[in-house]
Amino acid sequence: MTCTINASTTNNLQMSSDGSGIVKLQSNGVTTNALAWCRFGQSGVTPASQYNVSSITLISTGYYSVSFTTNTTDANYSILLTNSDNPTLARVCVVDSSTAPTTSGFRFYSFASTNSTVATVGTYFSFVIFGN
Amino acid sequence: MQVIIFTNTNGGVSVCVPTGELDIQTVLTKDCPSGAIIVDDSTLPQGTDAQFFDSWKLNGTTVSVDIPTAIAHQTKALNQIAYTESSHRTSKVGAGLTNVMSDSDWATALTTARAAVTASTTTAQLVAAIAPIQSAITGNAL
Repeated sequence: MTCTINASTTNNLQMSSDGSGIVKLQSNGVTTNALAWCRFGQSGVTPASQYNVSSITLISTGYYSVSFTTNTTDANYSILLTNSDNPTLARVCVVDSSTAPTTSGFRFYSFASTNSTVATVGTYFSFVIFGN
Repeated sequence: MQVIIFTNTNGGVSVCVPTGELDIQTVLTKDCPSGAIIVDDSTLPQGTDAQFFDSWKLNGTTVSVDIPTAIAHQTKALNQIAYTESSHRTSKVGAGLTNVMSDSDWATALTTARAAVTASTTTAQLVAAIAPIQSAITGNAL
């Protein structure tokens, strides 16, 4: 069950719930806590830990799709995404805008910082989603 | 571990790994396209075949490496290495780096690698074909 706790300047503390299983801590109706997060490695893309993530799909080398267990309210969420590797193998992550994020998930690429034309892998990825 | 596989829009194989928050059947219908199937990941290509993920092909319930596609991918990788290294060899010396191979040896190694990639019939051969080229680059040092 979702529990929404909203600190309102006009109605003080409000609580509501539905059946999605998500916890939302809100300030004046704006959600302030993470809607999803995950850390996973390149090997088998099996998440080490996650919240509100149903699956990770390796589409092609260095190209990943993330699916949420419970959809977000809208697709205007903020994605904080990192790629970790050996310091001599600097990596960057890019959210795929050609397949725009949806309420059910998003896609991203991993590149070597010196080559943005060939997708590659990293040691592990982490992401956090904030939104409504 | 069970995973979900399907042929993607590029003709290759994508692998969907459920996190466990939902059962795999639900993930299959929610996160994957029609035609996706559940398999044990131990049945997927292993060893050097696993390195050629973008060359995997799904036939029925079996995934294997398509060698012509793998050769094309390895040729592209070789060209990428050759372009980067060839265009930087002179500047590397100027910057105090030492090229492991002389220019003539480098040119010969490239020709040999290209021929070896084209002639490969296994992924192990494809990996071995460009190993000398990769060694020439990673051996460069200040």
